[in-house]
Amino acid sequence: MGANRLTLLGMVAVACALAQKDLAELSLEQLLAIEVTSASRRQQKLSRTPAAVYVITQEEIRRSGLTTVAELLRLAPGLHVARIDSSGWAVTARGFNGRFAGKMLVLVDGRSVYTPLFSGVFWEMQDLVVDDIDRIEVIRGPGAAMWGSNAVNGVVNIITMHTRETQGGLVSTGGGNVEDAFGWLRFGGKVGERFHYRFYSKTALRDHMVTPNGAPGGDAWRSSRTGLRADWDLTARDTLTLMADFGSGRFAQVASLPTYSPPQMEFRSQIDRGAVANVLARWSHQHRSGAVSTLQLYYDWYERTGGLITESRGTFDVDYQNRRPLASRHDLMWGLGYRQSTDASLANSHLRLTPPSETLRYLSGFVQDEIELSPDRLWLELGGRLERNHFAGFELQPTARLLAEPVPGQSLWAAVSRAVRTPSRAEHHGDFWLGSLAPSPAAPLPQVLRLVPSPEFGSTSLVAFEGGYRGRLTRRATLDIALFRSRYRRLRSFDLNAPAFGVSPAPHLVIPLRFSNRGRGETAGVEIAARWELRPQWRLTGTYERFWMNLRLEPGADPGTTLLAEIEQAPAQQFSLRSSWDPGARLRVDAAFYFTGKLRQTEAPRLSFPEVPAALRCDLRLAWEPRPELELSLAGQNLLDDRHPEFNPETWFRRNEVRRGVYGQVRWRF
Amino acid sequence: MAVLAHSDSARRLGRLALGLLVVLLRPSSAFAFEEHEVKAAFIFNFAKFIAWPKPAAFAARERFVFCLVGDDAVGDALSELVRHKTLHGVPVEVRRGRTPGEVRDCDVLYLSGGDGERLETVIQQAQASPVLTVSDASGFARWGGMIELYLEGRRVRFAVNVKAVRAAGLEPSSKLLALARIVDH
Repeated sequence: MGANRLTLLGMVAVACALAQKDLAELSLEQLLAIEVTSASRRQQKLSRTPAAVYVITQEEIRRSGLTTVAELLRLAPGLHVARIDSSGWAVTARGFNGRFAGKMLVLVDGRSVYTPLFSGVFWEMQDLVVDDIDRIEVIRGPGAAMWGSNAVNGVVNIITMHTRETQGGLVSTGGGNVEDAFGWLRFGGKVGERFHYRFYSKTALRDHMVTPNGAPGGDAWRSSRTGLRADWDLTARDTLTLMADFGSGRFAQVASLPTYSPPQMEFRSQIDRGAVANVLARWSHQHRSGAVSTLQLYYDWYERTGGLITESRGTFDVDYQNRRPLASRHDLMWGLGYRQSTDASLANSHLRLTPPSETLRYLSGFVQDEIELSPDRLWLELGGRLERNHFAGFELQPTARLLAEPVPGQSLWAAVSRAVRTPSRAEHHGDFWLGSLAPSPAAPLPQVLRLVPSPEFGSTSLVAFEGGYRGRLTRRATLDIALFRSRYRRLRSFDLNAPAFGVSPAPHLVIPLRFSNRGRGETAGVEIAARWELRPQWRLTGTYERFWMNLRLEPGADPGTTLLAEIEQAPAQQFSLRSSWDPGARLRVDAAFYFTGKLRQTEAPRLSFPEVPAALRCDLRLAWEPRPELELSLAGQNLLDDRHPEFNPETWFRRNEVRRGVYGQVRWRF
Repeated sequence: MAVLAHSDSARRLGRLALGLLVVLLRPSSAFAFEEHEVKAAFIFNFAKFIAWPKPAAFAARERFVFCLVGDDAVGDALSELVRHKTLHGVPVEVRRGRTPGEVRDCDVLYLSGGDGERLETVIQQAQASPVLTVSDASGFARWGGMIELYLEGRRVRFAVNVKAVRAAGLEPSSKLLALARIVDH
């Protein structure tokens, strides 16, 4: 009884000390019992980054109930995430969204996952074990100086946990209506104190979405992933990280393909199969001078067959980085990288790459200096990258960034940068049948729109002006505001060439289109993220985004023969509100609302382009931990309506609508 | 009998209420504290459970000095935490530097595990003098540092290299050792 009361009183003391936030009063035992947020060092550093940054934490990932990487990006402000069908997403920051969106760089543990085929990401092939993700750093705006080409509108940096943090076993399984069934397991162990490893395997079956009239969308999919990671502290100064990962997927899809005869278009159900494999080694060394060198090598392979395109690609990448403090005020970073990517493709009735196989080589170097102009108050970051890419030669991508922290915890930043979006293999070598037009009195033959190889197509460049405020409003509330204005030059356009007659299989007129760089435009926007800790056990996160876009042909371009080929589908406004509440020590209740405004319509040539209305989405999750090692949860997505569309896909895909999904999950740690 | 039963149930109710209060006040999970705040509290606490050889340097200079090296949030949190505090009978001071060479006359030296500092140099230098070295760099204690902070799940833990502590002439209390993971190299 006495002991009982003592512990109770002890707990009250802890609670009171915690309530006052005076940790100095706590004993070692009490400190050992406190759970902390895993605010990593990198993340601390990010709070002083002169860029528009948001870090999706492990806690946010787990509590969101979202199960794929693309869906998780809904948590970050300023990103537009739209699900086209069950296994297809359009994800981007600051406009130009699409399934083939090609202005954002995506990295998984330092490995680039965008394909040089179209400079975008096969999101459905990145079906990671979301519980292994430590954090996702989302950098909006150009990050090319630091990260390389394609980081035009943003960088998504997915980082998985260190193996030291995934010791022991974990199994999880669950299922529902959209998330049909899934299961994964992880086992982490160590050899001595210096070698930690983990093994993981995952399989997920996902059900179809629906057509606009509610019928099954024919787009169910399944995917699996298996891999290993090891971290080895070779000496006090050297660490070695090794990763190997492979996966496969089977994606049912309904393609929308042009035909020669009315109605000039047909839906075709097909099975797209995909496989991925990669190995990565990273060696990091701390020099006696305080400098840190990192050498990273990886090989990444994927294959797609049976769908729109049959292609396999192997990419080898070697990257060296060095970071050293110089004098007392400089922090210098530089690096060199080489990438070689070879593919082989098979032509089909609608798509062909010429030549069918090609090796692309990229060479780049960057330097960045962070100068502390005034100690703990003012920093200047100057950086630049010179890159030689296969299609467009040398490109220089500089940046200058300034951050001031006049009062601790309150910072202002401003930046001006140039970035480049380099052409993709599909743009230079693609020969694609884009669409057909029915015969009309004016043109008595069916017309076939054909995209022919465009070897003259060059890079798109961007100059962005950005600025922002980041700070603590009260002890429990933080605010992050970013403003940007970007100017694009040499955006993608189509040039219509002289029509030609075709006779097989029936007489038709071919209108060849070629990519050119005759577009230009401006975008501007405001992105806001706020976090508010109402009570220790209740936190709110809110985001808001306003976006403007104006694209046009450059002066002198003839609108009769030149068309803009950039997708403008973007919501003018988005906002979200998320609540994380722990009603008891073992209960977690999460709710999220996402509002996406009506998408503005694109002017890219398309035969029909239905409206995508504004949508409000609600996700809920309830989790109960009866014992520390066991968690039972119930999660629902899109709970407010039966179905709604999120995006109009580019040519060749049918638009499906997302539907309400509910699933249950068990997680057990051993 | 009835009275007894009554007081008994009252007591039980009281205990239940207190229990509920604790549950309500309990800083559930993550949001209450960030890792760097808790680490700073640990560092402050370690100084209480170490005996310095007499005559102690801090007694002579009438200041107990925490030195913090590296640009790190733990440093900010510790500076905040020790304000107006005393340790071993003298006021506490925090000195910060970018490299170990920039800070002098330390009683406790904390190095952030982050941006490539010279852990080995510090470990060697500190062996000769009664300075308690603490870091959250992985492998710190194993490589001859004294106390290493690390994460186990969402809780902060610490490892003590007893040999290194004693080699510097410091004596860890048995209570500290009872709660630590002991590294003997």
